[in-house]
Amino acid sequence: MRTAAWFFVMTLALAACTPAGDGASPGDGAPQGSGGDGETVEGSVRVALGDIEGVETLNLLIALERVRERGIDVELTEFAEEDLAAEAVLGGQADVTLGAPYAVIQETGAPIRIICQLQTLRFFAIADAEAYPDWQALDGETFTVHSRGSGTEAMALLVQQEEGIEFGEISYVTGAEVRATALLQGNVRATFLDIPNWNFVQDEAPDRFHELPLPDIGATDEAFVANTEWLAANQEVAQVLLEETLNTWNSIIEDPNFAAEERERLGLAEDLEPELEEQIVPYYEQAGAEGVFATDCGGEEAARTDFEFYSLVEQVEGDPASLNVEDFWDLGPLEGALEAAGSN
Amino acid sequence: MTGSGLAAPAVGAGRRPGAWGGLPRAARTWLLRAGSVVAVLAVWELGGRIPVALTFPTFTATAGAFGGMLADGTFAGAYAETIGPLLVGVALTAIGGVAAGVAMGLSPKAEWLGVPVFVILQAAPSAAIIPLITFIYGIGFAAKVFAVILLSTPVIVLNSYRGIRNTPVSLVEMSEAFLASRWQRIWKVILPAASGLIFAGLRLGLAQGFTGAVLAELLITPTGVGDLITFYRSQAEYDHMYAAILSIIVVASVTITLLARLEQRVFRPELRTP
Repeated sequence: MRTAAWFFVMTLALAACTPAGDGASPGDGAPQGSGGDGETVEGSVRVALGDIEGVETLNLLIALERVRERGIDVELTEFAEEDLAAEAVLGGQADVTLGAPYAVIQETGAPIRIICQLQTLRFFAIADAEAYPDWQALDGETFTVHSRGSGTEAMALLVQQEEGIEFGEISYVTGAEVRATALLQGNVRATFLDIPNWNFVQDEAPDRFHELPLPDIGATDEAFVANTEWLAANQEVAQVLLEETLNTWNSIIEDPNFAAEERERLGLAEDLEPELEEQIVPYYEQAGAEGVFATDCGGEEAARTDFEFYSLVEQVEGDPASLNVEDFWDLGPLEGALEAAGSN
Repeated sequence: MTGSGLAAPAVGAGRRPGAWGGLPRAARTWLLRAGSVVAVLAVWELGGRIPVALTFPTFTATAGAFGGMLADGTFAGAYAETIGPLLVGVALTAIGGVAAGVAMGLSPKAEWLGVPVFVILQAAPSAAIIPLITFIYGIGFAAKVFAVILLSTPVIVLNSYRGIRNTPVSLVEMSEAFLASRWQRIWKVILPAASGLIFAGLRLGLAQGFTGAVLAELLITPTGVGDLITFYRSQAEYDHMYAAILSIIVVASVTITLLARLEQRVFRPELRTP
């Protein structure tokens, strides 16, 4: 009898932990405004960011602040990792996150969809200049990437195909900043780095490393990913989110000073150290020139590119050509946002 | 019921005869332990079937993945990588940590110098410190060994210290009455009296060492069992990811239980269960 009572209590406890199945969210049932062309829209969005406030996330913070200025209640929660942020959306604690969760959507059938490509993968292949003057010199040598199954491993596999070489070993070191330090310490001799860390390595050891050419990949690094129930009930909020994001991206590409000016005006990321503050404009200048920011949300073409690219590391299973974009993406808000921005 | 007043009560006397009545005590203990495990697994299965979260697999799915990874050698390959830094780290800590703890227990100067350091180290947020190791030790084997040492040292040192300090005064006085030299007192009285706590510290240190090794693999370079967790999570194969986590629990539990048995056999036979 006591055992049965114990089981009953545990079952109740588990049921209490289960996310609400009706998809109730703060935005549900809220009256929606007309939206578009800078008009205010009523509603709310809870954004889960798997990163911290800094130079590289400043553009997103600006976009979200501009969404707030359109009358939408934006709640931003920061998580230590992208995976945790995605799990917050799956668990119903957030409506939108950033990432490229193809494997999660395919493996779990999770009710989330990608609604806009924000940034494409832009890494630099950095190698010891003396030991590895070109890709051929890395044939049979060790190359270091982020982790097994990551975008950087897919890039390494792509380089092998394109250059007709085979790395002796692909080793894994998590985090571009750790790989940058390892390069300087001599633990790693060839790897992928992002813009800030490649700049850091160049500052520390100006002539020791060089950049090897990479094919234009164009795969998604960051995309807005939304809960489908929230999306169905908040189409206008989603559209405003994309409109303001695209406007911010375009403004930054046009004038990288925009990021620093908007930070000042909106009082964002106020805790940045002076040396990081100085990096804002150069970073956005470089990122804009490198084509990091997607100014059309990517859409079907980006989805097809991602299928091909992420299937290299089995993040997407099956024949890439036969996969349905609609199984991973919801193109509705994207089309509306492009139309509103007059870019379509 | 015992009936007569002066007769010594038999084991189990006073219990009502029932389903448990006919079973020997050891069998009852094992049944209760197995029941506890089955209850936890049943709740896990239920949680996976509800489901509590889309990323939470059932126990049966996890067990299936566990079996597959065991059969195809995935676990063997991963643990072959994880075990190296763990063994080296725990061995170094066992030697150095016990020596430091004993010194602190015997010498007031060493106690004054060492205890605050290890108490602070015990309270330090290891997960925040481990990534910083790379700045000094790089990303290789040494960094992982250091992570194991960082987590396992405080418990080994402090347990050894407390073991020495808790030596019964009557035993020390007895050795003095028998005119034992200082070394005889330490070797034949204090260390045997402290051995139980020292060994318990080693056991807990090994458990902490497991945590350090896996944290290093998750936070520094994804290798061994840490790589399995990272990889299956990125692939959204959550049954495999939970199987990797379960394997850590199983390996750590089995190792620690074996050490506890060894401790009872060697140092404290009076605690051995019949």
